[in-house]
Amino acid sequence: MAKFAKLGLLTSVLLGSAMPTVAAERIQVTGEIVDTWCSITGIMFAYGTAHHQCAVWCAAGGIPVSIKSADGTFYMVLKIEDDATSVANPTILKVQTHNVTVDGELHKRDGVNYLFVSKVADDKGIVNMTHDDYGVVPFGN
Amino acid sequence: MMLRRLHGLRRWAVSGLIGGLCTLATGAATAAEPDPLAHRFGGPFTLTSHTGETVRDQDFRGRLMLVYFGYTHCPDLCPTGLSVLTDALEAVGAAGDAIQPLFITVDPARDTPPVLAKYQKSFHPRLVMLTGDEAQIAAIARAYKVHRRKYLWPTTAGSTGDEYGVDHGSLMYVMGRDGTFRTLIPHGTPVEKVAEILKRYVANE
Repeated sequence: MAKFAKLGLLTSVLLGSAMPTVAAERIQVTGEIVDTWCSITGIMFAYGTAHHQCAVWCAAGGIPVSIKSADGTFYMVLKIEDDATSVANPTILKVQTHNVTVDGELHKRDGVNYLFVSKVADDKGIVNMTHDDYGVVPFGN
Repeated sequence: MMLRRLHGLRRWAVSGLIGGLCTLATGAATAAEPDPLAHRFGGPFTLTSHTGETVRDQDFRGRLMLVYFGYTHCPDLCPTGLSVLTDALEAVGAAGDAIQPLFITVDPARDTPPVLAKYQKSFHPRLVMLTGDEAQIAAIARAYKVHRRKYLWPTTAGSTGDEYGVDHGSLMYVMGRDGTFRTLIPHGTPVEKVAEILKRYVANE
C-alpha cells in the first residue's frame, strides 16, 4: 500500500497539470539533471554524485533525462540546445547530474511535462555531493 | 553485458513507469489551435516493407500512424513494446482500423524483409515492418529524433567478437491522419493506457 501511495505522489509530481495544453510555454527551470527512472521510482538513491555513474549510463543508453526543479516537478528533456537530432541526446552527458538553469519551451502532452531546452543559461556543475553518504549507487560502495 | 542488460531493462522500466503515470490523459490538440509540435517529429519516408513492397508515408494518409522504432535482435524493449502495441490495438477494437501500426528498424544491416516477415508473425497482423538502406534509415531516425547507436557486445567464449546491439529510442509516435505529429507514448505504457490514448486521438480526428 505504501508503495502505491508513493507512486501516487510521484505521479502527481510528474504529471503537473492534467489540463489539455497545446500551446508552448516559455519557461526557465532550475534544478538537477536526473536519471528519470531511478529518481521517479525511488528504487534507489538517485541524486548527486552517488548516482552520477548510473545516470550517465542511462542517458547514453537512450533514457530521456529529466530536470527536477526545486518544487519537485519533473521536466522530461526532449531536446537540448542546438542538437535536435535525438530525443536522447548524448550532449546531455556533459551536464548529467549538474545543477542547471535552462530556458526552454514547455509542452504538456498527455500528462507529461516535456521540455525543449533552448539554452543552458547557468551551469553550476555537480553541486549535490552525495557519494560520501550513499556510496556509488547502485553498483556498490 | 550485465550492465548493458541492466540498463536495457531500466530503459524499459522507465518508459513503462512514465507511461503508467500518464493516467490523466489530456486530450488531443484542438483543431482551432495550431499544434507547435506538429512538425517537430516525423517526416516523409520511402522504405521497404516486410513483404518487399515499397511503402511511403503518404500511403497512410487518412489513417493515424503508430510508429515504433526497434530491431529484431532487440533483447528486451522491442518484443515487449510490440506486444503492448498489439494488445492495445486489439483493445481499441474496430476503431483501431483507423490506426496503421508501423515498425521501423534501426538495424537495417540485419533486418532484411525476410527477417522482418518472420518477426512480424509474432505481433499484430496489420503491423507493417519497414526497412531500408542505411541512408534511408538514418534519415527517418533523424526525422523522428530517434536515438540510435550501435555497440559491440563484450567478447565471450564462443562468441565471434562482432555481435552487436543497438541502443535506440523507445518512444512510440502517434501521427495524425495528415501525417503530422500528435503525441508520444513512452514504451511500456500499460496496454489499457495506450488503448485509451489511441481511442481519444482516433475520436478527435
